[in-house]
Amino acid sequence: MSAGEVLLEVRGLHASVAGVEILKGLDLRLCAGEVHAIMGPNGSGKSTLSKVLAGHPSYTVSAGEVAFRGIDLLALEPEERARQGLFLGFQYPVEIPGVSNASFLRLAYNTVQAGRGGEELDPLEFDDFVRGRMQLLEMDPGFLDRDVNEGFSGGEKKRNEILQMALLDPLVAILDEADSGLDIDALRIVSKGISALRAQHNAVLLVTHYQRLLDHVVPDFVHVMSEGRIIRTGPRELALELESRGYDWLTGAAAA
Amino acid sequence: MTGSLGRRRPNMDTHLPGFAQPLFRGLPVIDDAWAGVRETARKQAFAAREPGPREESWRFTDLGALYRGEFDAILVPPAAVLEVPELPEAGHRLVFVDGHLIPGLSRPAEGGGLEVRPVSGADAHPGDPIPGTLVPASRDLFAALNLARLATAALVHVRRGCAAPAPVHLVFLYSTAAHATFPRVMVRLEPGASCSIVEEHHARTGQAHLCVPVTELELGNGAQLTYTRVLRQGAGGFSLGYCEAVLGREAQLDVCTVSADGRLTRLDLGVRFAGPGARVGLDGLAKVDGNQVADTHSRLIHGAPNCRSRQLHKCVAAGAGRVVFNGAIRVEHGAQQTDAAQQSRSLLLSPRARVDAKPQLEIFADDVKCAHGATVGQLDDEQLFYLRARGLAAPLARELLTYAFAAEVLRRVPVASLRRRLERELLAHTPG
Repeated sequence: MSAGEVLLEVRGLHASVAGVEILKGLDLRLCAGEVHAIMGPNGSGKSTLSKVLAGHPSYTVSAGEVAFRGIDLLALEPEERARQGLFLGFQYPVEIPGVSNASFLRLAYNTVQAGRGGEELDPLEFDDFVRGRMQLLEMDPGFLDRDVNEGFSGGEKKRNEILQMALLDPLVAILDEADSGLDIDALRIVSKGISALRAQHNAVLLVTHYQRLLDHVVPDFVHVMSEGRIIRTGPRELALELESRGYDWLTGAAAA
Repeated sequence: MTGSLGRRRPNMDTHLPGFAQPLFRGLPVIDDAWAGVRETARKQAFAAREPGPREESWRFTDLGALYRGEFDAILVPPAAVLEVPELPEAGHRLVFVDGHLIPGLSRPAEGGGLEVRPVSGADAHPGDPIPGTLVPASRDLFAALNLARLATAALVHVRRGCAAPAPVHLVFLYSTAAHATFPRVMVRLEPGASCSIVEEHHARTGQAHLCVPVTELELGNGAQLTYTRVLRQGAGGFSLGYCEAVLGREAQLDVCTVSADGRLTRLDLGVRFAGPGARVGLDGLAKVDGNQVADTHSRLIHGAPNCRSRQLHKCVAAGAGRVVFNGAIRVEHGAQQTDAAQQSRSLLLSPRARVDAKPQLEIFADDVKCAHGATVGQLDDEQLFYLRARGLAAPLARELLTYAFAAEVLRRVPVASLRRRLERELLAHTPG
C-alpha cells in the first residue's frame, strides 16, 4: 500500500434498518495516508454507515456499492471484512462476561493474522506483544484478566477498542464516536493512540458528533452528513466552523 | 396376558418393570451386615411404582426409552484397561469400573483423620454410616434399586477437626453396554472437619447403559465440604442420580455439578439445613445436544434459622435437546432470617431445543429473604456481531459465547486441573 492508493470507495449507498431507509445515496472515498472525519447531527446516519461498512446483519443495503481495495466489500461476511483489514471501533463496545480480555484479544489477533498469512502468537508471545501496545494506551495490565468490557468504565471500553485497533493493524479503521463519554485525560490517551497508528499505508474514518477529538487527531478531510448523505466536504477548518455555527446553516441549505 | 408381554417371562409376584428384571436373576444372596438393608430395599423396589409422566416430578422427563431397554448387572469387573481421568491435585482416590472397585488404580486412606475406602456389608466398621440413611429405598423405584443391588460403596470419613490435605477423587467408569450400575458414595464429616471431594462419572461406551448413583453427605457442626460432581455419561447412557446432604450448625457446603451428554440424565439434589447459621452454595451446569435430556430437581430445605443458600443453575440446549430444572426451596416454620437466592438461566441454541425451568418456593416463616429468577434466551446478536467484527467466524463466535455462558459455572469448579479439563472439553464439544 502506498500513500494515495484508494482503500475504500463508497458509491451511491442506500441502506435501511427495520424497513426504514437511513442511508440515501452516500458517496465517500478514502485513500491511504488520509484521516477523514464524518460529522453530522444525531440521526443523520453516521452510525448506520459504520455498521453497514462493518457488515452488521440488521442492516440491508438496497443500492450502491462499496469497494475495499477493489474488492466488493458488501459481498463479504463481517469476519471476512475484518480479516481483509477493515476495523470498526464500536460506539458502544459490547460486554462479554465469561471470556477474558486476554483470550479474546489473542483469538482476534491470531484469526486476523491467519487471514492475512501472518504469524500467529502463542499465549506467552502474545502477552509480551499486547503489553507493549497497552503501554501506549496507558492501560493497566490488569485489563487482560478481566472479562471483555465487563464492568469497564466508558473510557476503559474506548481504550480497549483502540487497543484492538493497535493489535489488528487495520488498513481502514472506522471509529464510531471514539470520543463519546471520555473525560479530558481519556480523550488525550485515545487520541494519542489513534495518532500513533496513523500511517502512510492506512486510512482512518472518525465518526464524531463533536469536533473536540479533531483538536487532537487532525483530519485531512471533514464531511458533513445529513439525512443519509454527505452534504459537504471540506478541510479541517470546516469542523471549527461547525463548532461555532452548528449544523443548521448546512442542513437548511441542503433542504432548500 | 402372559403372551402379550413378549419373550420375557413376567415376574408374577411383582410390578417390577421389565428393564430391571434381569437385575435380580441369579443374584447371589450374601449374608452380611447390609443383608437386611438390601432385602428391605428389594421388597420396596418390587412394590414401587414405575415413575412416569403422571407424577409431577417426572412430568417433563420421559423414561420410555429407559423402560424399553433391558439392563443386566456385571458380576465380575471387565478386564479392559480404561483411561482414568487424572486429577493431579488429588490425594486419595477410588476407581470403580462397572460398579467394581479396581484396587490397582485406587489409593485408599485407612485410619487417621481421613478415611477414603471401599466399604461393603462384609467389611463395614461399626461406626460407618448406614447406607440409605439420607436416600432411603422408600424414596422411589430407583433409590430402592440402588440399595437392593448395593455391593461396594465409596466411603469418605473425616474425623472431628481434621482437614483433608488434598481433594479426594472418586471415579466411576462405565464400559459395558446394556449393564446397570448402582454406585453409592457415603461422606461423613465430623464436627469441624473439612474436605474437598470430586466425584466423576465417565462412560467409556457410547452404548445404552444405566447408572443410578447415590451420594449421601453428612456435615457435622462447623464442617466444610466442597463437593464437585461431573457426569459424562456418553451418547447412550441413562443416569438417574440422587445426592442428599444434611448440614449441622454453621456447616458450609459448596456443590458444583457439571453434566454434559448422556441420553438421559437426572439429578435429584437435596440439601437440608438441620442447624442454624449454615451456608450452602449450589452451582450447576447441564449441557445437552441431539435428543438428550438433562433433568435437575433440587430441593433446599431451610429447617433451621439463620441459614443462607445461593443457587445458580445454567442449562445449554442444542439440537433437539431438552433440559428440565425444578428448583424447590422450602423454608420451614421457625427458620427465621433465612436468606435464599436462586437463579436459573438457560441458553437455547436451536429452535428445536427446549427448556422447562420452574422455581418452587414454599415459605412457612415470616422473616425471610427469598429471591429467585429464571431466564431463557438465545445467543446475543450484538455479542455475536462484535466477535465477528474482530475476525472470528460465526461458528467460532457462537462457540465462544456458549462457552462464556457456561464459564460462570465452570469458573466455580474448585480444582484447577478439573476446571481446565472441563473448559477444554466443553468448548471443543460446542456445536457450531
